[in-house]
Amino acid sequence: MPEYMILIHEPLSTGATLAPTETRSLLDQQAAYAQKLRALSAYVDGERLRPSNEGRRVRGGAAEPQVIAGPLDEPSLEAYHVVRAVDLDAALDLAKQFPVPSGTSIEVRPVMSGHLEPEKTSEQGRLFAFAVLGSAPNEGAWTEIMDRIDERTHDHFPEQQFRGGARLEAPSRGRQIRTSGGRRAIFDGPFLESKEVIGGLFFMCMASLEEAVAWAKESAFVEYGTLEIRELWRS
Amino acid sequence: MAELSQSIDEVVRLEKSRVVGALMRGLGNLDTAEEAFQEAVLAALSSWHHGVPANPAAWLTTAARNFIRDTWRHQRIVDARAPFLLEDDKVSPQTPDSIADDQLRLIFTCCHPALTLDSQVALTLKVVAGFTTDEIARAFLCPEKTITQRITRAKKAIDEQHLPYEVPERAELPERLAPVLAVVYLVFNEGHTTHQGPLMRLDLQAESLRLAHLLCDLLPNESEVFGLFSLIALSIARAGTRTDERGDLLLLSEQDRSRWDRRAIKEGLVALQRTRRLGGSGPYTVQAEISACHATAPTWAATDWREILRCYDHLWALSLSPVVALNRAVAVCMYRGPAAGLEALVEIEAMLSSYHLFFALRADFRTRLGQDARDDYQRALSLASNESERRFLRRKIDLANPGAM
Repeated sequence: MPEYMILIHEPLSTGATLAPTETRSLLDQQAAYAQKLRALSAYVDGERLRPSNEGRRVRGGAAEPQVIAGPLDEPSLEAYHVVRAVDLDAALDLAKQFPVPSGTSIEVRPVMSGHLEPEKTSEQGRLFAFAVLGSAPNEGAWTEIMDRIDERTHDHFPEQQFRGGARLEAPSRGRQIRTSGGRRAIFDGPFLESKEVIGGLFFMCMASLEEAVAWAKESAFVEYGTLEIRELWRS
Repeated sequence: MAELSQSIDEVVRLEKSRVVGALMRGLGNLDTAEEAFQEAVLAALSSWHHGVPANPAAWLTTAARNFIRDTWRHQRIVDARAPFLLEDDKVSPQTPDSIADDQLRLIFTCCHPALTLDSQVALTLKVVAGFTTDEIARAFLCPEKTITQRITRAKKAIDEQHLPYEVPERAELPERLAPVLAVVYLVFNEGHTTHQGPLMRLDLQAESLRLAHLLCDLLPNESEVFGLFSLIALSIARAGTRTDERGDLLLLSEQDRSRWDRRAIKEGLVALQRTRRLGGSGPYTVQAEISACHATAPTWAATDWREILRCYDHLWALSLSPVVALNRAVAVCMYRGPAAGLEALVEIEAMLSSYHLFFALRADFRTRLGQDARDDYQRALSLASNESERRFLRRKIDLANPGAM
């Protein structure tokens, strides 16, 4: 059965401004949602990312890769889930039920390839998510960039530190769900013109954020695109 | 230049447990490891002019090993310890797992149950957290000599009793973890209760949170580690509102909840999710649950007292501590009313007959029932030693005395 990645992009301000009582009920509902995915055997993987103000973006292109400190973008990636579903519509149905605060946008993208390791945060050490980002004038160019990155980086991960990852299908094959109060509206996949679009997500165990940034700067990823580095939250 | 050396200071402090942990493997002697670490820091101060290297821990470890090698060569020590010196990070690269295990071994040695709690705390802050004896002494408001003695005694005990330098086996982990958590809790509690002394660089509360976070990364499947982290995060979130502008303690019911740190509360709540997922029900987890009820309640009156009472019942069964019983009585009063609260106090009076808060609480319950409770306030006053609490009690007595108005 095909796999889909559900990416939760929260408005940057939400995490800090939500009243504690709302934060609590949201966390409880999200825990129940993950339970439900497991019960349906739809669950493949899922983690929460630490706040983006603790993250970094390493952007290539220039002679010396640029390191950008968080907060990163608005909205910022807050969590992801990978689910098994018969088709995109079934995945969208699951994604629509994800309990989120109003204003959150939920992206659903088919997984193209890769291997995800569930329960990563049960392992010792600090785990970081690396989001592969790229921007291009059109989807053809974007796919070409992602292909090139894939080719150059394949088998270039330090084995002992690598904790799995997945490449996603092109943005046009995905959908976006915008939320407002209890309402959910579905739009086409993320548009390329305005910002960098995620092409994949992988995970590595690193001693510190500094080490993760140092690794990213040396990697082929930043020759063509950008890596967003975010520590995983143990929840 | 001053700024640079300060940042080196901070980096060095944060990396200490990793470096000393790595040195201890194969060396086994804390004193030598610490001395070598100090020498490596001196070398760093003169070499890191243009910035801190990408992997400062590896740099410091190599420098420390070089120092030990030179010393031993000087003293013509060539023996079984030689393999330690041959170990090179290029030959045997440090994996994340081996770094974590080195740090864990170090923590379990510093908190070995054969050492006194005082020594465990001093040693952990010195070796794991990387503070100087002077900083620890100032934070605990005691002479530096006392701290130095505690550390010396602890190191001697480790050597003489040949305390094993290892991560405990799975089966004995709960037992060996208890003192580690107790040390971190004590560091937190000291920061929670001490009054604003002279400017202290060592913020004990923040440090206890950092230590608890480190433990979460090293022992990610131990529910009580996350319970403790959650408890500390939720308390720190409310730390700023615990006193008024005069420095007097404010009751939870009087605090400005809008000023609580929402990010820190979320941090605590996420950790609490994890302890639940791990099936946690130990004392730190239960205390974190109580703390979470307070932290997420919009007002004192709208607090989930039923849940808090359930938690205190559980905690009382786990610990039989008088302070728990007292807090339980507050929950009884809030959930079932002051008469029920008074009844709950009857059961524990004998145990707490010299504790000022017992009488302050009974006075409060009696006042709620419309009774004259000045005698209990007086008794609390005669037992209280903290000036801020005494002021609070005098104010209550004045309020209860119509003649004084």
